[in-house]
Amino acid sequence: MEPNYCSNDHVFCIKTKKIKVNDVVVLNHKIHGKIIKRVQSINENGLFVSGDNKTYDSSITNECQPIQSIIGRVFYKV
Amino acid sequence: MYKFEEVKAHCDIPCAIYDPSQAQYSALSVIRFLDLINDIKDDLGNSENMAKFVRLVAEKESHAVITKNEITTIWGDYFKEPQFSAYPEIHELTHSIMMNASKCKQSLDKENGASLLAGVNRFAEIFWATKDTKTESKISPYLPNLEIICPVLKDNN
Repeated sequence: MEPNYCSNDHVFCIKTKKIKVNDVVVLNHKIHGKIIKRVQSINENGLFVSGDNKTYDSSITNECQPIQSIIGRVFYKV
Repeated sequence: MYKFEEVKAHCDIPCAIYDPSQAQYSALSVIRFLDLINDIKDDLGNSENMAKFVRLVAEKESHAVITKNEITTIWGDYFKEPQFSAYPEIHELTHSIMMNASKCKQSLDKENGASLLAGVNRFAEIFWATKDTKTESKISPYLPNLEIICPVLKDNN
């Protein structure tokens, strides 16, 4: 998620399922656990996320994430 | 004091392809080498057999190490908290595979090879379960013709 979010950053997250495109969210992935990503698109089945750092791919960007997996939206970074 | 939970910005470097099949094939090779070594171990009176014996022992060592490396890579790089929670036996299982691989390096007892393969097969079964992929038991189509746990692959259509 660099350059916007780097290792050891602290983020505050509001618990909500009300998400819109371009929000940065924390979600509970079935394999990788709690991850932080940016919302790329939303459809009736869930949403697709992507990383800000385009240097690296992530397999989860190819998966539709269920809305139930969303923990919340990041609203502040320290 | 408020405790921050850790989250990760997951990325795959470089391909995120994990597959325990290499470990399974290596474990089968170890068993095959044990058989071949035991076939000639009492007939080392000529240089031909001696050379073959040395080569088989070296390959047995090598494939036991491959088994260890493949399993530890998947355990260390792929398995994370969600998989550990779902399959808490994975730590003890991985350690037992390390121990059985070492025993295969140390002795010519085929039982050690069988224990190694059983552990690796169980590891494969758990691995595929974490990916919601069904598995099936098959017999290897080459010697030593033993059971391997394989993923049920999707058809190409």
